Amino acid sequence: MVEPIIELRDVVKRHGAITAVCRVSFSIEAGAFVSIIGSSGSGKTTTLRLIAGLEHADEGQVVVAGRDMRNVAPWESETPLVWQNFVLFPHLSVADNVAFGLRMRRMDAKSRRRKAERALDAVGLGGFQNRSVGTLSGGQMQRVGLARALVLEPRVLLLDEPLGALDPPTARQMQTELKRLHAELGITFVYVTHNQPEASALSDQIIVMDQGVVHQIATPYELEHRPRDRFVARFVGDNAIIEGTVLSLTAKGALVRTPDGDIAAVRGDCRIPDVDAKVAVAIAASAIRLSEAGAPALSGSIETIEMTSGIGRMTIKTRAGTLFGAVVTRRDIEQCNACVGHTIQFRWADDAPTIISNN
Amino acid sequence: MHRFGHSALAIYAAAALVFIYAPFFLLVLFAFNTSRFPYWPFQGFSLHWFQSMANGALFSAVLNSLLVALASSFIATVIGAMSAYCISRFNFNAKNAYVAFILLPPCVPLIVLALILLAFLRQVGLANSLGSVVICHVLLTSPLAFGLVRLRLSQVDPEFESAAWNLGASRWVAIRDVVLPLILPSLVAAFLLTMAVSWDEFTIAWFVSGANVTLPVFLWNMFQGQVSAMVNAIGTVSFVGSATLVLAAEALFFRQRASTDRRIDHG
Repeated sequence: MVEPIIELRDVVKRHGAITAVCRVSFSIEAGAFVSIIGSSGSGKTTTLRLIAGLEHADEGQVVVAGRDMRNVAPWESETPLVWQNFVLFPHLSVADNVAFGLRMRRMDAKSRRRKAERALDAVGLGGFQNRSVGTLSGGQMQRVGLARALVLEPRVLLLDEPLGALDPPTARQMQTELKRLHAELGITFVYVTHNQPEASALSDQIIVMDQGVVHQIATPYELEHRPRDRFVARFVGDNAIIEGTVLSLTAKGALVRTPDGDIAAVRGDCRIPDVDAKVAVAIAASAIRLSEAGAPALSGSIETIEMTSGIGRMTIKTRAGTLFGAVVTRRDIEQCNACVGHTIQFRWADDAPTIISNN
Repeated sequence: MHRFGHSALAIYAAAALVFIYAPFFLLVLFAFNTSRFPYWPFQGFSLHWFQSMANGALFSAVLNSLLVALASSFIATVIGAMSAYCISRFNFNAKNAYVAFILLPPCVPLIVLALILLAFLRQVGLANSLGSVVICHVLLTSPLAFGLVRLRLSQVDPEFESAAWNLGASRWVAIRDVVLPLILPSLVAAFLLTMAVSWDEFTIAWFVSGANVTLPVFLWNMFQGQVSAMVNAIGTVSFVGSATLVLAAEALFFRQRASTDRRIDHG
């Protein structure tokens, strides 16, 4: 068990009448790449600012690298932040921006310059020292933002939607760069984003927040295949949700009677339900296969087909009225002669159905 | 029709400008006239009135005005900038009332303000000195400085300060190293504009300056005794000085705004 470097215990933060963060608890292991995802207003940025020490919790405890942040001023936090809109100082050169934190630590000018140059090299901006920040492109600005934080050699790097203001090709490139930097530096990255694919591609662990509350903490794989509740199943993953009652308990979970037939579902992140309890079952769109002849299958009519470059999504409505999403390839569609209005047979991977908490 | 509207507007604008600037033009013109009286026709070109400016009383008045303008605009800029920072970065009870309170002095008729100030300064034993003029001019011009700096601060993202803190700058260091450089043009503009106002101000100075007359008061006193075209010469010099201050302030303020807007576009 690796020592947690960041720990939140029952943290509450209010902004006037709004509770931005409500009884949030989690811990982050040293060296991990953890993302906090959620829509705007989910409390993810406030949570990051609490870790950064820019705001202080109203209740509960935030511990970063062994320090209770309650007694730490914003300028004593030692957890540099990379900002969505860069927030580079416009009156300073690129090198002076990068060296700002070193100057605050009273490092002498010569070492400052040397370290700043090395940090700029590390983010691929060697030779940009004397440029004015106003002349840089968005991607270059964010690299300066990264260098400005990394030059302090922090144990924790905080990133607030760092790719949010970049155009898609630049964002993809920066995403690869971030992954490489994390592997190279071995420090903890805490990454806030509303972009779930981005978080899945980068993170060891994802914390899902909505309206100030944590819904699930899981690996990207678990998040996709074992959603804990309806919110995660619907807004983070792409799942069909089927209501039912528990017929019997099994080793892995339960057999659930639903209008679409009896489904053997796996217990995910929620507690074991009782027999006869009302539950909901989530089935991920990526686990749905258009059926070959012979396999036990459900049938439904195709409602929509949306293709984007070879891969797409189909929605199928069963007779019971459940709407299934299915990830399909162009080949699948050609093989089954699928088109909107046709009836089609489909099945899912045996361990795909997951019991989710029914609220 | 559209075209006609445009040219009508242009003629109107030109007429307005002529109407406003004709007196200045005539002032400058008659400063070079040989005659003592500013009447048409022009009597002949002369530098006589500029030469006659070289007298001790006028110089001491100019010096007084300069001292008052420098001191009051420095103090007004500091007070205005500090209030502006407070207003734009902190929330507190009755903030709007406080802003209204700050902006009140220039809304009081000058003559009323002058009388009240004279009465007050006499009570506290500060009347009839240059210091009293400085105090009054600070009161009159600090709202102007406040307005200018506040406008600039509203364009400076508070996140710049958060970023500075995050990198280890204390509150004061963040103000010194990040906020001040970003609002510097507005500070200079505020300094120049308040200086121009103080340099020209007559009413209050006439009431409270006592024997230490400033330039506008000197001119007034001179006119009481005799009509001299020297006033045109002084007016010309003074006008050139004030106009330079105001133009410099505007150039600084708007150039900085334009360049910041460009930067924001990049971000």
